[in-house]
Amino acid sequence: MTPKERLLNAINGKRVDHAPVVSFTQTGTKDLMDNISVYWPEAHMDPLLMAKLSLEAHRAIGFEAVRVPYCLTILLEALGCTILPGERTRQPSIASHPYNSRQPIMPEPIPDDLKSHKRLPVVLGAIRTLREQVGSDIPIIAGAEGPVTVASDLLEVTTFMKWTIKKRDTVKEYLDYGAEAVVRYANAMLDAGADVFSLLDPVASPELLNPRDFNDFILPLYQDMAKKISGDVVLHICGDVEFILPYLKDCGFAAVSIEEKTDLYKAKEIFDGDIRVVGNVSTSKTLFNGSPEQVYDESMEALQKGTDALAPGCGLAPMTPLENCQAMVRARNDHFGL
Amino acid sequence: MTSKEELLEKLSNAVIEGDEDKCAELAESALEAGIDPYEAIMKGCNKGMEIVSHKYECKEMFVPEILLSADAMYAALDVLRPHLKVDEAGKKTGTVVIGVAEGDIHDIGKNLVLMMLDVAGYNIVDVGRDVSADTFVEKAAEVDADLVAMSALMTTSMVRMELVINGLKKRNLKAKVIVGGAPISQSYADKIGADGYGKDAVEAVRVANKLMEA
Repeated sequence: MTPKERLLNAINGKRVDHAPVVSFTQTGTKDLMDNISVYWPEAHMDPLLMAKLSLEAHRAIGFEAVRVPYCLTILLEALGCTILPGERTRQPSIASHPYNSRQPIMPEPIPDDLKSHKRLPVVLGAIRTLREQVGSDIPIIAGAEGPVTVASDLLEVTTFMKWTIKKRDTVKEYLDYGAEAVVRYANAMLDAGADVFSLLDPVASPELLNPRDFNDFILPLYQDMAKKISGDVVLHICGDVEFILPYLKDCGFAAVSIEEKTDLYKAKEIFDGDIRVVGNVSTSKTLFNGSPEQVYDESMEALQKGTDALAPGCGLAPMTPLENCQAMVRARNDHFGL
Repeated sequence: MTSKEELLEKLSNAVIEGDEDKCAELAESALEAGIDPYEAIMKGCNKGMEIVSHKYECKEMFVPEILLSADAMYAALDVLRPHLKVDEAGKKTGTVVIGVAEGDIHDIGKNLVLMMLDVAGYNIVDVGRDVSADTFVEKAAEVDADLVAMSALMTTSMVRMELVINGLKKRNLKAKVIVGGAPISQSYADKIGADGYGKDAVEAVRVANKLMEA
């Protein structure tokens, strides 16, 4: 079984020889950058450097996929946000929100040639380069900010949150707009050669939004996107998502990625085989701040609870030690007697 | 004619409902009815916000609702505060310097903690977001802070918190430090030598109060 077959089978609930160990979230760390002298922010802006850094996570850590990009700003920038490029160990961030206003303004239409805007060509180019470099057996995971995150950053997140109560029609329109943009970008990445689309929607977390609104607004949106995206989708939502697990069960995507704040066993129980669960090694407590032994133990726990793919629970912190990441791979190998 | 108790209860309810206009209106009515503004704040605004905190802890209310309640409460406070007697306005639990650690622009959590500390009677000095360690320390020295409250949503910025704690120690400042934010845990707070950790805004106030008593 090739790593690609294994990953696709694992997230679709089909038979695998053992669980894969990958990252659905960002993989750029300082140790990897130092290994190959490719650094942020350049690796956010150049397709070859982006590809090279992601390949190093596969080579040096042993993650059984390559994964791009390293931030949640690429689609947002193409839709009109301005971006701060960040530094070597600091991700790019959103500097301004194009539709931040006391009264709702309707967004500009999504450009027809969206995929040639701003840094979308960088990511698409990196995916094509990776496909040539890794061949057909190693899976490529491509990520992007989800519709809730897009809508909230186009408007400004506090305004967005208040409007989920006070201006629900506007919120709905922005969510639809975000979803359309994400679907088009996701399909462009899959066309370029990505095997899995990783949909990252931190703002959809019940730590920020009312779970009732998740059911009313967001679930139907995800279900529609699942039909329109022409490949396998793994949805990642940050924080404790226990409150929305019963809704996530019906999201229509292949799998959901969770942090350590959500109990993996509980998620599995609620999903009851309808969709898969991946995760959930803590990126702050253990991977970043802990020892390799602690990462190993936490990985073992996730495997024992039945994670369908062992993965970091969120994006890797840039200062995560390499040996901590490698401990995940060791745990997976030991668990399955490889 | 509405009784005083009824009016204050209406104010408290308007805070819970997050009705900004109604809060401002009821605060005006309270003043017109000769209700002491301090009492209106305590039994109207603060009581409402206490119930909001409780509902948040019980997961009956979520962050969007709290943001509206905060707006509503401040609409009433803007009306009432100018009428406070000087000694009441100056009666504070303690002075807090609050901000988001350097490298981080996520400030929803910080603003919630700020609002709840404000309600709890603290004198608030907001240093904003993406704040350097030096700024935190300078500000704490300048205002003779009792507490420094810091949040971070990113691992890159959480590591900057330790610099603030070291800076405060180096200057021998009395301020105690509370930290919070998604990647932070009690064990991390202990590791960097923070005096307290709150997993959410409600807990942050509880921890702050405890530190002030100690």
